[in-house]
Amino acid sequence: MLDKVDLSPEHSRHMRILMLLAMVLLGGCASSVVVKPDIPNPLVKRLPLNAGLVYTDTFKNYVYLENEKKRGSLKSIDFAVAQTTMFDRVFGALTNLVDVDDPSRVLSIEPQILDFQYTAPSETKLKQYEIWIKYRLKLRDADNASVADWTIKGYGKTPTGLLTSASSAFNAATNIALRDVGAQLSTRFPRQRVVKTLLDGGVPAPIPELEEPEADEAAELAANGAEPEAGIEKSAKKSSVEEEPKDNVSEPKGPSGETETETATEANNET
Amino acid sequence: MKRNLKLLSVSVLLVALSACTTINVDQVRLKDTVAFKKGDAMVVLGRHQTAEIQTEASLVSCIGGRLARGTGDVRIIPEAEFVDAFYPWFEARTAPLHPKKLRRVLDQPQVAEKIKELNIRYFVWVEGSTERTNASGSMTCSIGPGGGGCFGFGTWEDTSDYETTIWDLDTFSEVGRVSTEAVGTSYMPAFVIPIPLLAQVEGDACQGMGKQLVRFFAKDPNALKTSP
Repeated sequence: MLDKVDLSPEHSRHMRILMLLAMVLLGGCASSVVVKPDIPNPLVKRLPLNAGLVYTDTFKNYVYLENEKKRGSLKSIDFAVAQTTMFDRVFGALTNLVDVDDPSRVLSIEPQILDFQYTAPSETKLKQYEIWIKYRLKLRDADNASVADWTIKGYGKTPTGLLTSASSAFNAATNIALRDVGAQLSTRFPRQRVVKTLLDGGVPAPIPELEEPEADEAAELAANGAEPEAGIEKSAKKSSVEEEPKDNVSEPKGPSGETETETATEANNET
Repeated sequence: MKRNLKLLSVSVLLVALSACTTINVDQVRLKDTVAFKKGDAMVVLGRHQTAEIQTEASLVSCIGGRLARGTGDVRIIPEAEFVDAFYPWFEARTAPLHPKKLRRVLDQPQVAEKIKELNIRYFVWVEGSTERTNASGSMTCSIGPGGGGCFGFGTWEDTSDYETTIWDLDTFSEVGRVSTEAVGTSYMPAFVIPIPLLAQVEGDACQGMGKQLVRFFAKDPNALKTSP
């Protein structure tokens, strides 16, 4: 087939122009991003509390895959290492991290990713990339009885100005969102009733084990970044609100239309 | 020789045609003197508390650079370095909005200790942004086998609106404010090649604000010695 191609100087020039155009078009293609963690060690007082972190396989291997063909700016984003680094650093600074099977453990914390959403400049006409991440934190006591169930959201955005590519912009925005989650945890964790009770040597009251997403739903969530199920949201809404100082941030709604400020309150809740 | 003359003519033409910016700088001094001890440090931070308020890191860094050059005795800590060192207390969500809130942050012994260790005396908060406020004109570019080119004329206006607030850590109070408004119009005529005549609005706002801040921190505000 190639033999039949006329490679006269004129055609050769056309080919070069076409190749140049193809390269330009490919430059704007969807990217697969692996987020490099950029989370500092929190400057907080370590609590005299032996806690264990539990990472499920789904959490450790979480990769957001974009299945909507219309959304052409992102193919996949892998921030599994970045998010485990954030939780390791935050709870490593706040508590004495021990193995989950350690007999001295008084608390276990199991983070679960509920939702991941993003917007790109091509979708919003704004010169910025935005990321929303929603986590659920299940806290269990030494006997593995559920004692608290929190949801917490992080928001991050990066202007396009100084960024060289969509990949670096997603990387930066995800790190800012993770920093946001880490900042909320670092500043609020010591003020939570469960933590105060444990620090006072008391035993926190157990709460009913709340409904979990079905295995298939959880897998779908991990694969598609779908909206969380109503049952999961209920788990947070059942919580009693503990008064906390309000945050500075008044965030915009996520692309799904969910109000972000609601979450800031949820993060203060304790069941 | 002829080529050099051509280049010179083009340069002169570009300078003559270059876009210009109008800057207005205001200062409010709430304390007569701002004292520095040798080794004192200062930190310049941008406000990011809402999705709308996202002060550009480049401007914060530019002001920091101007202060570093203008106030020789004071050490300026870069924003990123400071925010990382004090994580999570100066993130968008957690950064104190008032000096009294800063006092509460410093109730954390680790934070107070680190502030002391770094000899930080003043906080300079920068809030605002540069936005495109007006644009008009049109330009058409085309490319073909014989070559390509652009034809048309475009013009746009950028407006910078910034306010810096200075906090004194000795008294946990606001000691001054400097606000800057800069408006600049850029032009882009295109006859085969587009010739951008850009107004450096953000840069000019930084220059105006930086100069005023140096004057604010000068021992004798009337004897200003600063780099342009």
